[in-house]
Amino acid sequence: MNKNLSIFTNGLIKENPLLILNIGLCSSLAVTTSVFNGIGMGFGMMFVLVMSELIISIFRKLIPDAIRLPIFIIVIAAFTTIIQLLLEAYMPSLSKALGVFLPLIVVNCIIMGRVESFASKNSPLSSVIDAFGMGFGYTWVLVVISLIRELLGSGSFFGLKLIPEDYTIAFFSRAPGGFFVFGLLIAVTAAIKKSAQKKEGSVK
Amino acid sequence: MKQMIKLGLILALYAAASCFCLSLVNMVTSPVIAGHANEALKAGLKEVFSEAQKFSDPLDSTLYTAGANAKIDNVYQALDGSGNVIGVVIEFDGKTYDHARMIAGFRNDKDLTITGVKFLELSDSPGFGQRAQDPKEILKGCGKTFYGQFEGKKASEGFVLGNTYEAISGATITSTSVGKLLEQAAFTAGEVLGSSSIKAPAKVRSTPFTEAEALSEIFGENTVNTVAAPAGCEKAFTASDSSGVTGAAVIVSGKSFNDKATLLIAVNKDSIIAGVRVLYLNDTPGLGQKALEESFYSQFTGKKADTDFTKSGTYDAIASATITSNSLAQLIKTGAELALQTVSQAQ
Repeated sequence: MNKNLSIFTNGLIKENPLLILNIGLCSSLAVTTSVFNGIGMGFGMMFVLVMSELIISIFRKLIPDAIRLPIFIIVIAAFTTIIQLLLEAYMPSLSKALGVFLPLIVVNCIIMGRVESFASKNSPLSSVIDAFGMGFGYTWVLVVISLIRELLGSGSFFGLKLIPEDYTIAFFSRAPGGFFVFGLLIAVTAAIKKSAQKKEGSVK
Repeated sequence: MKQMIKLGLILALYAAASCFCLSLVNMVTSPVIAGHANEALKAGLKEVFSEAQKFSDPLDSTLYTAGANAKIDNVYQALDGSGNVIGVVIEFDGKTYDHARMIAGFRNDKDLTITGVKFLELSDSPGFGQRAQDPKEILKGCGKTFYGQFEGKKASEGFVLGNTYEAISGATITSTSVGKLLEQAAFTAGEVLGSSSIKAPAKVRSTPFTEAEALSEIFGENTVNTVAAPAGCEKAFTASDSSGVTGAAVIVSGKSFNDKATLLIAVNKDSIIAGVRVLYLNDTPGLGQKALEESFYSQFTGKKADTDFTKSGTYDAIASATITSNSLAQLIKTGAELALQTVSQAQ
């Protein structure tokens, strides 16, 4: 149980895919203009990640090493299309808002990275827990970025207008603003990591 | 070799299994997705024909002739509560400055009154033609949006820019071509509703005119005689009917962007330009060559013949084709002066 818990929290903080591993960045910058989009993207990506890690972990002994990458891609692409069809049918507004970034989940490095480094070598249960951990780790960072960008850039929170349009800073709704907010988060993460290391160093 | 084949087969197996699962999901979701698209279309139809209670399925395309200036995509009958046909909505697309897809509703009355017009797609230039579908762009003359101005107009009166409908300033080509598309849609509506008040629109041309074509299109039934050409033009003509001379025309040539340009400029006896036609032009396709299109040359009809077209603001130039536009403007100014001379000499 302890092992599984540590696998889960690994993805949340210690090996957070966006802030620590620095993978899967493109989609995180593109869809974080509003909290609704950020959460939607987070869960869409988590669905593909969980299903892909599960299937590949189940079949890990039946995937020949030489062709493992094409097989990973087939599985990931299939699940990406499935979530695309499901969203287009049952949540069309989210599907329109995510636009081209929904099919781009297939090239999200986080999924390929975790499938290759974890799911292909671990049990299905551990893989699924890792997927949830990484998925939530990705989602919470997305939500934080979207919160800042939506509030400062469009003056709203989850669609509720809070700041009048004249006082919004459009910079935050554009790509440079995304980089800026993301850079700030990485800086904060680095600071926390440094102080944690210092503490460990001083305790030792 | 055997290993490669084995690997290939395993890969194919995984691919097949994925495809199978995908097709299962697709079977479940595709009717739902099609339902959404259908709802969006129905909402659009109701927007242009609010009085209708429901709409028919698209009519069989054999019931109307293929459009000359616009492609007729679908025709829907607008029905009232008891199922009577109270009008039609035409879905059509065609060339504007770039391209547009629209729906227009026509009531089943003798004038084919327009119930509404809506753009489904418009890819013209932002800041110019794109304003045609902008709900915030209010035209100065009628106080409505460009697409909103057609509501309540009678299709039987035709679509004449500046006359029966208002243009977007600075976007003459888009404004003229939308009129042409609506003309085609109105004709199809007339065909389907069994009305004869709309005549078939002439195919919009974008090729040079011959001298004879230009003269007959501008002067119609009037008798045209060749007269001595004043200095500066190649040929001159007068047009007259039973009451006397009604107008004159000259053919002038001058340098354009690539090559020379030859125009026929006609004025009537009230010193108003009766028409401008391009007889020869060899500039850049898609840019200067756009002057061959009716949406360009038709804008001069009705302007005062003594207008100095070399001054900006007197006409809408072709975007990104400044040299051609300036050369033609100079020619039209010269030609109009000479045509006025010819008219006054003949009277």
